[in-house]
Amino acid sequence: MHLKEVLVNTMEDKLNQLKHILDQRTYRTITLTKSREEKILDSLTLSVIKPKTSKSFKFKETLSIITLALLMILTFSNLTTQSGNNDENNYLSIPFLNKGEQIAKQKKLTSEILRIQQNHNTLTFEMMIKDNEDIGFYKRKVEEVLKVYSTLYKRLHPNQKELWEQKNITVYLSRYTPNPPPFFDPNNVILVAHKSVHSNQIEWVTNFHENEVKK
Amino acid sequence: MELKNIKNSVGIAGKEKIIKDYLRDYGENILRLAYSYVKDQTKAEDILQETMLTVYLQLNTLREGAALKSWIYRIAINKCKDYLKSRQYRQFKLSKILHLNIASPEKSVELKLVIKDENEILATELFRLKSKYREVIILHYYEQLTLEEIGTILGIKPGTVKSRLHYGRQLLRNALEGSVGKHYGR
Repeated sequence: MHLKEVLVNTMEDKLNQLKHILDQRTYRTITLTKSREEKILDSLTLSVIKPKTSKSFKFKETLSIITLALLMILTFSNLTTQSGNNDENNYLSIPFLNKGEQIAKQKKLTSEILRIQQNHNTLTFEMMIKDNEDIGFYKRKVEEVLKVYSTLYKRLHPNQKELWEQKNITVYLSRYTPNPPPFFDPNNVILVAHKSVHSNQIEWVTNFHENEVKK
Repeated sequence: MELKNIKNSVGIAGKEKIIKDYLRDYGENILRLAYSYVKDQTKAEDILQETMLTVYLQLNTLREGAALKSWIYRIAINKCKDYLKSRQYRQFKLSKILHLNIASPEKSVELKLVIKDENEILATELFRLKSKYREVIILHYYEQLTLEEIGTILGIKPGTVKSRLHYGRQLLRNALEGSVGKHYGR
């Protein structure tokens, strides 16, 4: 029989042996080594299984969407880079992906994190939120974001100090809008979270315009 | 592991043990499954790591009676799909295309001269299929999952799984015909 016919006619047989075929070929080198397994477990232990004991960074809810967004951020060349649709304003927009958007909506989270800027001792970014939730809800979300950010930062820079010990961090929570303005608009800000370098406490400015600070 | 055991092990040490068990039981399969989507070992390892992180964080949300394997696979596949839609992947793909374009023509000729055996041709053509057909073929034939289980993992009806499987096989058959003709000059 013609080789071509043999091959095509026996495709179903071959598919039934797919595990053997792929294991012997395509997946031959795709194995989970003991060291890689340990590395994964170590990273989990570092990030969530044995978290910092600070009261401010309790970590309760699922963060996959935030993790996803922040992983995207961290994979950009570096966080000091600012890019986007407005050169003057150094605007960085990280739209969540389709699946992420669905989850974000379910969790009533923002769909965008904007204007990330970082230098050697500061990190600031803006998170757009729907303003129909209570402030406590957003406080928890910001703590989660910062916790995940810190975890990822540590994973990327294991030899550096904790993020908390290096940087003043400010997060501006602004009202959600599908087309965010290119410039930072303080009038849009609902809540500001600020954490000074070396401090474990997040200061909450619940009324940004009157500069009222609550801890 | 049964859900009852998970609920009983809500402590940190218990969760750590569960994750270790999952990694041992499903780690390599998830790694390979992720590789079938992203076709890059390093990224597949990252996806495995992210999957285990999500599994840990969502452990308490697992419904009683829910199939553990399907649940973990669904998390991993969603992460693969999110990555494939990402800007990071598009940049990675572009750099690969650019790399291929600057490869020497001599090397391409050499590659063409490599005679592949039929199993290798099957594996190559399978990995060239569109993701939606490749995933059902791999989940069905490699992972030995039923149409219902695949439907649960992918969030589609078993009937859709069946038709994708049928069409995927047809595409694979066509590809094999073309590939054999190309490799053996027939």
